[in-house]
Amino acid sequence: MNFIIGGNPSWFMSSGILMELVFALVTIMISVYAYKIYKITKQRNTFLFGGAFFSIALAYFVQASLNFLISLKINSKDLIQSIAPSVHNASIQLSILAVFLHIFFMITGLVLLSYVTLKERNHQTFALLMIISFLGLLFAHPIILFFEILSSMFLLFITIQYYQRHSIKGTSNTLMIYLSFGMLFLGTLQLAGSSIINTFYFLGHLTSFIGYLLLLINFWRVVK
Amino acid sequence: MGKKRGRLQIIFDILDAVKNKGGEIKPTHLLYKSNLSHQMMSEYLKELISKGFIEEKFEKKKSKTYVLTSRGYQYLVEYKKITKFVENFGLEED
Repeated sequence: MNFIIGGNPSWFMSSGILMELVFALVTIMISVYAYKIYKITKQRNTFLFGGAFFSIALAYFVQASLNFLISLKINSKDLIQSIAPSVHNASIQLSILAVFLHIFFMITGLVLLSYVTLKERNHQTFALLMIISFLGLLFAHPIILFFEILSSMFLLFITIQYYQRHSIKGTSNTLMIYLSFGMLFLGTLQLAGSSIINTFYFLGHLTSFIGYLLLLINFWRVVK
Repeated sequence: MGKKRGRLQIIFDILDAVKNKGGEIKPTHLLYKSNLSHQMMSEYLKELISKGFIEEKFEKKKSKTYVLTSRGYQYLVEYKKITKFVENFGLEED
């Protein structure tokens, strides 16, 4: 049973995993660099930003790992029953655990990222965003659809913040950041539609791939 | 009237002033070179010392000097990349 890749067409399985690994790689690179800056400047913003991207990287890594295991048709039942023999329907429980870890890391990352883009912020705002998000997820049905829509909303918010920033600064770098988050928003929105039409899973990954590629180009222009 | 300097730029200017004096500078020279008020200067120096960018040095019968640390040199080298990254992603702090 596959919860993450609900509408995944079988022909896209390997490419999808590869793309998820690219997403994880790009986000971890940005995270590490932000942490490096934090170590030098001790600025709280860069620490939170690095934390956000690290959390998103973990989400993609969990997603890619689960999809890889499924693609290899590894019997996760044997794996988990060797650890916890009393657990029934082990393969399903392993999938559920991976899905919840993916959701947890992704939402935490997006909440952190949204929080960093806010002009006025405090701990209460962050706590409120986290509580509302996870409370919503707790009662949502189907949870994956709610998760994808919630992620889209956060990405839309972040895109708007970067659009406003671009309209003030007007540089090619701010344009690229705004476009990359815009692509990530569209990609996540398409993923939400993958439970209805399989093609959206492929389109969502492709659009997100363009988004992360733009982020990577921008990152490269900074560190070169 | 010139554009208001950002926080990272002020830190760069202070550290650069120390570097240009051979890595060691007297407080009066630093105040003059950094173009800050005495109060602002004290606040920045306090922060830079706590972050390990500069160190205070006391010598017998001589006034206090500020010495640039390896971390301070690292900041100067990485400054352009840091500001580009911070500006691109909107991570500036007041």
